[in-house]
Amino acid sequence: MTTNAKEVLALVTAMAPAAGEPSLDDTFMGLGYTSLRVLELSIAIERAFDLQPLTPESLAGVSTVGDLADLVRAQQDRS
Amino acid sequence: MNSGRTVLVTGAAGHVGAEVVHRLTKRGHDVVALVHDRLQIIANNGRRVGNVPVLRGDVRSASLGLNRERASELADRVGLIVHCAAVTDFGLPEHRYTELNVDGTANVLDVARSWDAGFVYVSTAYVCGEVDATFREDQLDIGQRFGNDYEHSKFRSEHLVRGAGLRWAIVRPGIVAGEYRTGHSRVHKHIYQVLKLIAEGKLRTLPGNYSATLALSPIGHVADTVVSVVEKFTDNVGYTFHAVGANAVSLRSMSDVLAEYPSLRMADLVPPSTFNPEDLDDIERRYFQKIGTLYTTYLQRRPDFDSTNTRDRLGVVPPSIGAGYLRRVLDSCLHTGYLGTAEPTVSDVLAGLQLIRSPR
Repeated sequence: MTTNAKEVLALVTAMAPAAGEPSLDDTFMGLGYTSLRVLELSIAIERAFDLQPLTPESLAGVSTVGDLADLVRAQQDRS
Repeated sequence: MNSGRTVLVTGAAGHVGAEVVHRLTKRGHDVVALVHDRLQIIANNGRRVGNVPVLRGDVRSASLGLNRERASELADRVGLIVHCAAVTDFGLPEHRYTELNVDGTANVLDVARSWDAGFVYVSTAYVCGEVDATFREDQLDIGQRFGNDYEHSKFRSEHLVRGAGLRWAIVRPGIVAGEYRTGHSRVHKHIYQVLKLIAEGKLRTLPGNYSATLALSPIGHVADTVVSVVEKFTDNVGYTFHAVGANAVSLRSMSDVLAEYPSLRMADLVPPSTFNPEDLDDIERRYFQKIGTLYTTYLQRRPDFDSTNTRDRLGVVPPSIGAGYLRRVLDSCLHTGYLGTAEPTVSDVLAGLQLIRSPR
């Protein structure tokens, strides 16, 4: 697992509504995330990785923690 | 009109759709529920609605995603379609509203026409746009400007319904909120999300006026209005019904009630002309840009919705919306843990990440 993916996982774990140890394969719905909590997570992700704001459209394709890690990598590659 | 007694409800897994299905079946109606991806119909009280056929479909498809045999069978028995399916989230690209709310309504109208069925459309009172005046049920196009693409899409859909040459009726809810008696809502969208961010102190300053008003609609009142239109459809073809509380609630009233709860915060509303997001700290600014900005139009309007048709033609009495109802809504949110539960903040988790990155 890359450092980025580990850090995304750490943030997801810290903000997860339900206790547990999420993996990259877990879905946000399965972890108890609401759409509002996902938006809050996106703020933490933007700040942690110094990204441009993640739009609802880009987040719409994010289902699992791994999807979010991929999105972070793609945003970093773009900048 | 088709004499079939079955009522087809689209968007039946949604908050309003499910409650409509629940109340129709409880009153003995023969109902078929059309859903997109959630196959269970959950009433606002959290209980699953059983004994109702659930069909998976998609209003974005001309045939609603129904195969020919199923459509033929429904054509024989469905006398009325209640069209609830819609995307109601704010902040999406315009084409999403057009695709589902406008084109989807056109598809359901085509099906209603081919089945010779009546059509009940669940719209929104906020087709009024950004007006600060009384908006009557028989009004639609008053040259209004819309607060967002969602409102505009429902306005466009109402035009389609009125011009389709079918037998129609329209129900316009306001901001759908918790059950009147208990305050409970199983769905926390829209105003609930803003309320949560305000109550948790994440949105502390917003552009708005304390004199602005919100037209809250207890979910049961919305569903009762739809059910009444279904049951009295023949007498109410061509009419529109507002499904909002008897009175709007001001942001001053909301602020006063929030102040009664020591664990909840209220944002400061500042004149829009003096509000500048750049004055907010970085995290609050991001909250504002992602969520707050979607709702600021509702913090500045004072619409007044007349419900004469609902009261006189249906005999449905709009509930009074006062401090008591607001307290019940907040109490329910606290009871279910939607509010008042300490969750790690963005600052908390970033501080934790910093420790991981720079271990001592």
